[in-house]
Amino acid sequence: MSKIVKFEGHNYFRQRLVLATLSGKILKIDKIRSNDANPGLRDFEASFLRLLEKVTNGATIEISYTGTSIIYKPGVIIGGKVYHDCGTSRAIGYFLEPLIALGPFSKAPMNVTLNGITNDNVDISVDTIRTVLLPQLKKFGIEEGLELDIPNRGAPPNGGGRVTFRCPIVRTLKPIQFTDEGRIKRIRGVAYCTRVAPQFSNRMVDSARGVLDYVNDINIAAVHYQGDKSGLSPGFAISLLAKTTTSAFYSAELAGGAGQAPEDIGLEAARMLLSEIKKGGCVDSISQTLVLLMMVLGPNDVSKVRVGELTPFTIQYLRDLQDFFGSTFKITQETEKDKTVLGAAPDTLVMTCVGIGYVNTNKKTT
Amino acid sequence: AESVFHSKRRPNLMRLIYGDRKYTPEQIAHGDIEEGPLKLKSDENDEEDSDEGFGTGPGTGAEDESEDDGAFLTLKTEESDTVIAQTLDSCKATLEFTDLEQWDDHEVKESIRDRFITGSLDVPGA
Repeated sequence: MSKIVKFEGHNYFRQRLVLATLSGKILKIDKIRSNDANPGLRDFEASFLRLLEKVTNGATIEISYTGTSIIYKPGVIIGGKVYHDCGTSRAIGYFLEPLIALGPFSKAPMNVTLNGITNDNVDISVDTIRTVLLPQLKKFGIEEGLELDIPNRGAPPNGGGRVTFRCPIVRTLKPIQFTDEGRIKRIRGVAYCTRVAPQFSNRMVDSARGVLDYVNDINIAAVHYQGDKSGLSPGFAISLLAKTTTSAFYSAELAGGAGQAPEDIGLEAARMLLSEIKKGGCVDSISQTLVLLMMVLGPNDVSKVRVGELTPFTIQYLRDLQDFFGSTFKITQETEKDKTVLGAAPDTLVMTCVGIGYVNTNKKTT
Repeated sequence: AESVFHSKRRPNLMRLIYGDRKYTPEQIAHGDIEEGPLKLKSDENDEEDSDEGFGTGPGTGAEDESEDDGAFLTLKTEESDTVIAQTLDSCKATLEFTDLEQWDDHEVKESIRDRFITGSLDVPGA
């Protein structure tokens, strides 16, 4: 395979940079909004490039004069203590999500502090990252010291939140065999509000609980942030997750804005969770890409995972994984009679792949 | 018998994803696949370019397309919607939660009861 991978357009910008960094391939992206009235990279994309520069060493990024094409030569992921202001055009999730994929393969454990918007309806919120995405990594053998602290909240439009992400490093990952989705035993969640009446969190929790009356083990924390912890704008949001007996997660989240009733947000979020549960699989829509990436980077062994339906984002991710690593997944559609788990969703896919045996050469074997 | 027939007719996802990549991820995810020889392929390319141009104003894109024949219109307008989602570059933005009101219905709610530990342990329909 060639050392240079080329793409066109601004879509899927982050994942391509991350995959280029991990695979060590040179990435060239042309025609970034070349026909747009406002061509070239957006401020958040440039900001992400700066963050990438902070956590790596030796990377070169060439941006053309018009900003419509870039050439990225990846360096070594060094990690360490990094501070980054994410701005307010995109939430922290936009920046944090790629870091989770890079973190385990860094030279020094990452300790990244990010400033900006913690919850919005565009990017995944820091709550869902903490409660859903990070636990997914544990299945691949990344456990000790994996943390996300959320001391300050920041709602759109002005943000002002702060989170700290700590990630341990590993030399190799473990393969996973995860096809038994189990049954949901508990529901957890976080409802937060800042700069609104403290009752908002409780009102979201109450309406969400009303819909999720399937199990008794429901615990949704209602938090009200005060003083300097509450960011610069008023806001409230709820993040929900359902955990099964085999530690599969389903998640949903929703943020509220001005003029919306907290009851409606709680209700809608709970219904979104039910929709996720209905899709089935061992991995929910939000974590699909991360899990598939970790499967590809696993040792030369077969990894197998069951998913509900693939999202468009994941489908493009599969294509990009093929472009960078040459790995393809075997996708088996399960029909009613192959079903092993009682009450499982009728149409799930089993994704199988052989890992490329990625080794983090920065970590010394002890 | 009908369901067996349909399950065999279901397009092969691996071929759609890894094959010649003539469908956009959105088309695959929504099952928006036409069988047979595709004039779509060339059309689609043109269109993506034009849509990119209208990045901030997809409405104009849709208007242009309304000159085409009606059968094509649905597919195109839908795509211009999804192009907006793509520009957001977020795994959350491509999620679609339609028909959330269905959960008001008691029967629909009961349909996933067995996914919880409180549900019955009998195989449904066995």
